[in-house]
Amino acid sequence: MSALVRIPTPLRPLCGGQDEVTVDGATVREALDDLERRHAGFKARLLDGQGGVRRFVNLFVNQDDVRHLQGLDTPLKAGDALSIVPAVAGGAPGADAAVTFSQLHQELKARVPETTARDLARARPQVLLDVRELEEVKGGKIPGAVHIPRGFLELRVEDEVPDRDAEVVVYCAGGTRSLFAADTLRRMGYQRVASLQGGFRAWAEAGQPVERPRLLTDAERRRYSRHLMIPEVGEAGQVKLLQAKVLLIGAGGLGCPAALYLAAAGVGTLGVVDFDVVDESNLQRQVLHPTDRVGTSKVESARRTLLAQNPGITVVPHEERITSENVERLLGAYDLVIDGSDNFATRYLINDACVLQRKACVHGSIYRFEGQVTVFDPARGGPCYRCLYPEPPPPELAPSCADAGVLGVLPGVVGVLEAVEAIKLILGEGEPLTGRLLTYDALGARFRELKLRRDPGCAYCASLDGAPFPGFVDYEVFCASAGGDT
Amino acid sequence: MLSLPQTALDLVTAHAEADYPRECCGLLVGPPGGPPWRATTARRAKNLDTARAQDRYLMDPADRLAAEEAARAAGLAVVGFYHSHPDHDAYFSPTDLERSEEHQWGEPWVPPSYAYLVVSVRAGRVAGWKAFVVDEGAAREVPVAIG
Repeated sequence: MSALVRIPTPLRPLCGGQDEVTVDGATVREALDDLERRHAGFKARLLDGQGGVRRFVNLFVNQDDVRHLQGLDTPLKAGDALSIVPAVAGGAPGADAAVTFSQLHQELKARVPETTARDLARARPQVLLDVRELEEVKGGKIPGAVHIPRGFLELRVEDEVPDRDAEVVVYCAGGTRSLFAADTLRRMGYQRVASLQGGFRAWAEAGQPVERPRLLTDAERRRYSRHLMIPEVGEAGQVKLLQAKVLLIGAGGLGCPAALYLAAAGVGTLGVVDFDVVDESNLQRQVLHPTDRVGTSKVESARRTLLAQNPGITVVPHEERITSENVERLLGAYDLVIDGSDNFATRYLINDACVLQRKACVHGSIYRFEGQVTVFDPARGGPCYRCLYPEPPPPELAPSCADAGVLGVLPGVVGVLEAVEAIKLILGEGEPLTGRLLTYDALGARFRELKLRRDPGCAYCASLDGAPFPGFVDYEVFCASAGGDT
Repeated sequence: MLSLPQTALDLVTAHAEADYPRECCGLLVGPPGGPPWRATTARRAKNLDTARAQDRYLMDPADRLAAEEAARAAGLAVVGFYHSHPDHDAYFSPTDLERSEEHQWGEPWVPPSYAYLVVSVRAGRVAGWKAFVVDEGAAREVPVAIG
């Protein structure tokens, strides 16, 4: 069967300058073999070492690329044209002569997609990125925008925007710096980046909402500088801490160290619930209370010590016994609860109220040389206290510190672990102890971890999924055990 | 030397500006033979490298085949290729050289067979052009005559 092979210009010297050669063969392979027999040198040009077609060579039978047919085994009919079509390619140089700002700016205007304030107001992108300097952001920003100053863009953007397919709109004050920023993001592989035309000015002039973010004062920036260096905290995290409201149940062995570190860390509002006065036997571990406050109110003593540590926070003393009647009011103003209580009645009460208000409860308890910490946060997964202990143990198996004694430094360890968990929850960083019970054996110097699961029969957790809240019960009767102190 | 009429250059210019900021590519068609190369018209081809079109092109071989066949039917031939450099000067980059047809055929070097016209586009407007041939594995500029 004879076919016609079309020869590209550079290879025509191999066949005496002809632009086409008639060959015999039932397939492309046979045709090429015959071509080689007639005019040596073609196969070395067309095929690779393994006998396949070189990557840049395309073979067409009439109008069809043989890669989409049967390759070299593609059959040929009489009169078919076999064309050799090399792929031509190239590209702009990597380096270029220096360009002026206005050349660069014009190039970017042509290259980087832009969006308008009106379009932005209509459809919010997944990520809105403010690349202005801190001083500019202080005057207001578009609500919900993430702030990375232009100078830190490349360093920080992968942490802030891990998804390179996310839709990103970048803005600056007037729309120029954001063009450069958007161009950089495109080079870093962000696929869907646009720059806001006219920047923040156009947004504000269009009457769109502006948010004046809470920013750190210079004094706060000095005080919390070691936090600001940690990417997981940073300025945004420190603002979260300063805006957080944490309620501590008990100003005792656990509450004292937890509160002290939370105050130092800059947790902005600390509520402390305790109805007791400082007793001499407390001083061995309750580090907020110095000796000269024996006989005075624990919450007042806690307030004085905490404000001496950090006058920049607010301490709210609640000098009352926590009961079914006041628990909803007490918890209502807070984001998070730290349970440092010493009795089961209070623990069940706090648990039930936290489930009702969908708040996380950082729980700690101690016995002589042993402590345990966990986070009950069933609204966001994991069990509640009742899943762990559907019923209180008999009093003789769970004695209070007053009955059993405790190593003074042990509640320090456990209370500080509670503070760590609280800070992680506020920042939204790390893995909270949700669904895990961390135990500490001081004598053996060992930490262990137990998995906790939600009890599918827990009526309180079921209330999170739409079942009615079972209500508060008479916790004293339920536990039939009076509390001592931690 | 590459000579081409203003009408052919206008076709190339229109293509390069329309596709800016992406690189465009196409073919120069004229009487068979060269050097010197004489193009009478230009014909567009698709740039298949859509992912990096801002600084790469890969000419669609199907478009090239169609151009070859149309040229042959008219007694003409593909005598060269053109492509644009958005926001870059008109020069033959290392990539242009490595992926030129003559260079890809490899050694022993084939004779310079085509003229390669490179068009610089700045901010959406053609800012200049130069032509090159590939000779013994290296690029050499050749003069361009318009008209």
